[in-house]
Amino acid sequence: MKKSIATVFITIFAFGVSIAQEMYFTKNGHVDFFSSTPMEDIKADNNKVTSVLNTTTGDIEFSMLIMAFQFEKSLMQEHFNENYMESSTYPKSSFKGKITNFDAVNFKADGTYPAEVAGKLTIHGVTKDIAAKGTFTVKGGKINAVSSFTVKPEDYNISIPNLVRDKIAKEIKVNIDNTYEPYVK
Amino acid sequence: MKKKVLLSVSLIVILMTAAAMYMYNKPSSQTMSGRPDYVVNAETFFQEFEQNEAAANKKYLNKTVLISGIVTEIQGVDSVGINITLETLNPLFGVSCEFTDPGKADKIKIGDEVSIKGLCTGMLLDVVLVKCSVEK
Repeated sequence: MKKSIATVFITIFAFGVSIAQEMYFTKNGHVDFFSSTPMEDIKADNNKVTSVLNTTTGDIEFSMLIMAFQFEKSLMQEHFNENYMESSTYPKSSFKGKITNFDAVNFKADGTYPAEVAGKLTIHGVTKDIAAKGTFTVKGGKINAVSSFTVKPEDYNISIPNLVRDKIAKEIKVNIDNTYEPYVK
Repeated sequence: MKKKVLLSVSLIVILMTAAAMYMYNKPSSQTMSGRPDYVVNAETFFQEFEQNEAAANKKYLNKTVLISGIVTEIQGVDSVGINITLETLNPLFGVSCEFTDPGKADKIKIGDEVSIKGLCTGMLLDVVLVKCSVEK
């Protein structure tokens, strides 16, 4: 009787410890987007992206503040926040998804792993399913994730006035570059 | 007479175009200039977001704030700048200040009491300020 309780206890303890070690985290993730038209190139960077990667389940989540996107030109930043993204109403954008080829990614061994991720992306209050390809690089206890995908502003109810429609690409390229570290409480 | 009017109008058009071009091309500054809209200490500031995020957003989002507090973390981010975190009553999270112009943040050490001016962008886990600079 005592032996089996001890076994249960040890199992729970070991399980608990290993669970804690499988969460990877960043508060300084990088997301940038790029719009290219014959009229103009627009680029913005956000380096305050929060993201969690669960290397046991392959779950991945991102959260970012729209106002933390920095533009080269101040008028663009203003228009982006006030007119297009309506950041006062929708201050955040988030992604919640999973690595779909999780079996092909070995987070325990240093290396470079191509990956596919799918999940729900929320921008401007609208949530859509998306899928993206990326690469995980495991090295020295840290995990780097890079990915690129495209987003159509119209899909997220982002209305761009006809006057400037030609200045903004129909498809905006989004790039992710996060370096995760083990989550330590 | 007609010539004078034409000249004046042309001049006005040129000036307006120049003004528009200046505004359009005006670069984003790395820091916030001018007087802050709010002056708060880090603990109170963070608490307002913790207790009622919607109300705090309404008050502080997109505003220039001057936050005073004790430095609890300094982190350099490659090719981006420096993040300085100010202490709050929450043991895990604080007010995170992004300095894209690191020159504005050098000489700061952990434990220093500082006043940081920046743009409030909201709350993820920390409350995030960007375009930060240190005020004397």
